[in-house]
Amino acid sequence: MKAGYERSHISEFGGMSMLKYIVKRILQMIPMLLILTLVVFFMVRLIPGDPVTMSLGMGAGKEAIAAETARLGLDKPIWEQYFIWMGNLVKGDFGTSIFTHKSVLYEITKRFPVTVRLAVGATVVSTVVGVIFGIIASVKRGKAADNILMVTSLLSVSTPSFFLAMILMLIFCLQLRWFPVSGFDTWKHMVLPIITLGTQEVGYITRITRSSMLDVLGEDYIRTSRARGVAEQVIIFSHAFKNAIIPVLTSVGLRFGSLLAGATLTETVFSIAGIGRLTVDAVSQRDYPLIQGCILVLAVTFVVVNTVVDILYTVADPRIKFD
Amino acid sequence: MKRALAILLAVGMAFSMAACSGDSSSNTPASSSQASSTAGSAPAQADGEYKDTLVVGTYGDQDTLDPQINVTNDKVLRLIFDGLLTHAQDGSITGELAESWEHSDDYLIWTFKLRQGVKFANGKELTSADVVATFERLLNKEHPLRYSEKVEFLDSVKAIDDYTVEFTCAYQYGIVEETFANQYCFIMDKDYIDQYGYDMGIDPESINGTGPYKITTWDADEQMVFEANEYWWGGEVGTPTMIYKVIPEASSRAMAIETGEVDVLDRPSVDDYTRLAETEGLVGVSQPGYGLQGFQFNCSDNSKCKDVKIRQAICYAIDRETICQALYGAIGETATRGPMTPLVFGYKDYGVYPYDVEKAKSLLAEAGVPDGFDLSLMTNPGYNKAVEMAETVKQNLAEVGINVTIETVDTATFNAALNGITPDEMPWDMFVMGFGGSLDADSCLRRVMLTSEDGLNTNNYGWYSNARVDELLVAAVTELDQDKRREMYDEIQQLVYLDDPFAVYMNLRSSLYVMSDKVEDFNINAIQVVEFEKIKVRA
Amino acid sequence: MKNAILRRFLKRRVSVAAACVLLFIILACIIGPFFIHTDPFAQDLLNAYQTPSAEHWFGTDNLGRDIFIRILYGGRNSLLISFEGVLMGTFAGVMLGVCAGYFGGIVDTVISRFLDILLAFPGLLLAIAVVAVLGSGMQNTVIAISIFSIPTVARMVRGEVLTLRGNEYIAACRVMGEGNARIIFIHIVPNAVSQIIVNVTLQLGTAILIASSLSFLGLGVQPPNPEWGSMLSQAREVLRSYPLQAVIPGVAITLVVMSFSLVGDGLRDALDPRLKNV
Repeated sequence: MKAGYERSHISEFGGMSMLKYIVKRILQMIPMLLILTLVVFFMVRLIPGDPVTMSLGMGAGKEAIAAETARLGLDKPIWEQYFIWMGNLVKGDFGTSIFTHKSVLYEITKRFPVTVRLAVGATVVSTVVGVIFGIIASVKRGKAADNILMVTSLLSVSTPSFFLAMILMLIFCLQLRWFPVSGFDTWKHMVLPIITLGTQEVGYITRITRSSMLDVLGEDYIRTSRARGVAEQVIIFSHAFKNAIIPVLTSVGLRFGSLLAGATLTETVFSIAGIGRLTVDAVSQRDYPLIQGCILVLAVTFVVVNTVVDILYTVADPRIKFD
Repeated sequence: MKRALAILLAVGMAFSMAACSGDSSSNTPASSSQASSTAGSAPAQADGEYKDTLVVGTYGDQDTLDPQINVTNDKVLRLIFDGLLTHAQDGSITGELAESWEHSDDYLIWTFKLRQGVKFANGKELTSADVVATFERLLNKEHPLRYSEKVEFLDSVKAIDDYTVEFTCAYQYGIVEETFANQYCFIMDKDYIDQYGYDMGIDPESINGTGPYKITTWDADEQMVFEANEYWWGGEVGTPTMIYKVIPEASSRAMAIETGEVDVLDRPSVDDYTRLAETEGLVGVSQPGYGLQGFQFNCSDNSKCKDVKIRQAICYAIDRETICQALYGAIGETATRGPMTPLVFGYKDYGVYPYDVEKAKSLLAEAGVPDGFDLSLMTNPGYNKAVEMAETVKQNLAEVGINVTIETVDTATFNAALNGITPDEMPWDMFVMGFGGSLDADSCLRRVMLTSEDGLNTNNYGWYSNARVDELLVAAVTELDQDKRREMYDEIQQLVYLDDPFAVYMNLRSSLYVMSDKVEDFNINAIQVVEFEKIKVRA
Repeated sequence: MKNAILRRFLKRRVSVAAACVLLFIILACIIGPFFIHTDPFAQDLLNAYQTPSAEHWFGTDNLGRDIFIRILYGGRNSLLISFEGVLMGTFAGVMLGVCAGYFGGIVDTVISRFLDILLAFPGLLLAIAVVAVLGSGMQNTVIAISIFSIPTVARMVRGEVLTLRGNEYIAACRVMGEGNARIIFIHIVPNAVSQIIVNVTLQLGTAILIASSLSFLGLGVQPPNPEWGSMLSQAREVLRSYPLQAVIPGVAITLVVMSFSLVGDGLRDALDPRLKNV
């Protein structure tokens, strides 16, 4: 329960306590996911429009609508629907997509890995570039290099991704003919989408890195080291960077979950059939089982990544450790 | 990002266009004055010089390839399936899987003789059992389907022998043949119906038809791959493999044809069309007659539009010619000259609705609202430039004092509002709509204009009600003398277009394609169907 | 004290330049329309997609409307939406984060799980769901954006409070009998201010882009009201043929977002007590 206190004492209790903490975090996920299922389930039903008229089209006729409503079980009381869904969910059955008529799990297992590849690629690229930019900017704080890097990285965050995508496509697909416009099968297909998605993250990571580095560089022990005449490179890479990287990696981890869902626009522009597009499509089709499935899977991924990051953070952050 | 899909849904729903599978009864290559065949002048080349894969870029995926359930459109279905009847190049009805057909004197019994030797893509021969199974599935009262109400005039179907099928109608119906040419009457394999029931149409293994292609791979939202049906009764296809590629973003779609990633592009955006068509190596095809687009009135007691004078005033206040020229001029779409497209049986040219601000003002004065009023207008970005259209209408109506509030909704909200709600649940005075049907006036008018009996807007979305129109619509559908039908439709159109306006009809929609100039034998027929099976692409 | 902060801020020239740009844009959006009497709604259908000229400085849009004046009016809407949304969201987020971090225990657990749920919901989907449920329009877009910006701020503040809470200094305050509210608002929140500001400036940009995505789905500000996001999403469809349509609102958004962030950086450096002597 007392996650905050718990953290402070982990190191004192050693491995066993860490295990206990992890188990606790996992147990905490269960009520949270339960609430999430409730929220998702009822929220999708609050959105105007419904899957029956959506899949049948306008003017479908009362009989067809009634038959389809009954077939989908949407004529049952809403709580009953929820418990049926939950009952199946526990058995590992996410239901069947109303629009594609396929199992939700099948759709997700087909689409999810595509987006994971895209997001992992973007994360790796943006982390490497962003951390380098951030360190340089923090070390050269206030100098031209800092300003140029910060403006560049900000430019990357604030450029609408479809605009960037289109510029990249114009140059690399149309002029140079290096890469194809659509799809995600080979590495050639992956380069531009990864750059597009990664560029958005570079700005963010640069800022976090710079900020975190500056925090650390302002700490007493760094100033002490400096005063003792430790070489600047050693200070930056061995002392400051080691401590500054923790919040950076935390942010990277935390953003990974949202990156999965945030890839929608990139997926659309590059015609990639990923989970982002699937989810947004599901929402516009009011495909209840599919929306529920997609959001749950995205949420579980997010929570798992989040929990892992949290645990690692607790292990790694010296400020918490030496409290 | 949803736009492409919304277009596809809206189009599919508003227009259950008839589908056909080429001009089957003759082996001569189809040609028509309307067909804008491209690169036709290129000299015939040896087979080796043609590509063996044709890539078509499209805006959105299909929902299912079950012809009795699909509401997307029939473009893919017609690659795989055939109907008993179809539309010839000029739009007339001709046999496809039916070699000949006849009806009893009272038009209640229809007998079809099947073409012999037709085989499904799996090699099985087509017999009357397949036809019976197909229609029994559609007519099954226990499990009504999306299109079941379209064939409610049919009472029963039975096989006389292996190649003869007899349909019995419940009542006389004027457009039996027209109905049989539609996608929902495509013939499916009885064995597949038995095996897969209502689960067919998604997995390629569950799809079996007599059309020119069979589907081998379907990666949802990415692409469909088709291989030639080796048993196709129509001979050989132009290109053995065809890929239908989904590219949702308009600008990416434009780029895909520019880089040559696709050979044919279905529905480039209006704004890209002119530029693409003028690009070297590319050719544009725009074929009008796809249907109409406009804003329908809410004629219920809850709306000011109940008053015919107000509806007329609104019609007079809108400068259709300028709007259509500005929004759709680039693709050759013009303002409509009646409530139907020129290709439909019963069409009459009434001219573009006059733009007359003074008349509009005096009509408003007569209606008791000389200073105008507030009007809410719903639009759905799924229709081509429907948001822009709403903005121009707002501007026009402001000139006569009507203050329009625009509300854009997505397709799901749109569909839910136009599917059997009461007037109290309808928040809008006008809403965007596509108008059309198959090639007979009945399909364009009756379903959507007949007074709603139960007060719900199941088909008549705006509670339009005109006793004379009702009377004529019902009479016309059972009238078997085509000249008399034409007269009836004249009167109906006079009423719904001019005297008691049903909607503000705006533009005549067209099918748009852009393709590489290496594409040969691209043909689009009277009902907007492209015969993809004939296309060849020079290597 | 204030002077020192100002002096430190003024030393950072990029931030000062950004602040000037920002001020200029905001003033132009507020005052501009009083001097330029072009009607932002006046259509000239047959002169759509014109390139910049003396008559139309930024050219005309898809319905032949003057883009320059629409950018000014659109800026009012966009800035208002993102400011309101982010400030509301930040306020709520700070409150939640402080409570969670400071009180710990069951309060922390409940709030953290609530934030996890919000965070776990894909951001844009959350905004779509909120607007879809509440209905479209400016006010609901604001609410959607504020809900969208709650969890990041709250988590960040919570983390900050967690680290501060263990401080001897705070413990000393507690021993001296200072009230919780006093400790929170006098000793803890000010320490998190720099982080909050950085976050706000970043969120402002995201907010404009979210509003643009909502517009694209027909959920944001309703046409024909100009708004940068909806102008941008309209331009997205003609990106290949009329790139200039996207460049103008795009540059406006980018400039504002960038300026906010640079000002944020400057403020951060100026405000952060830990950097005083660097």
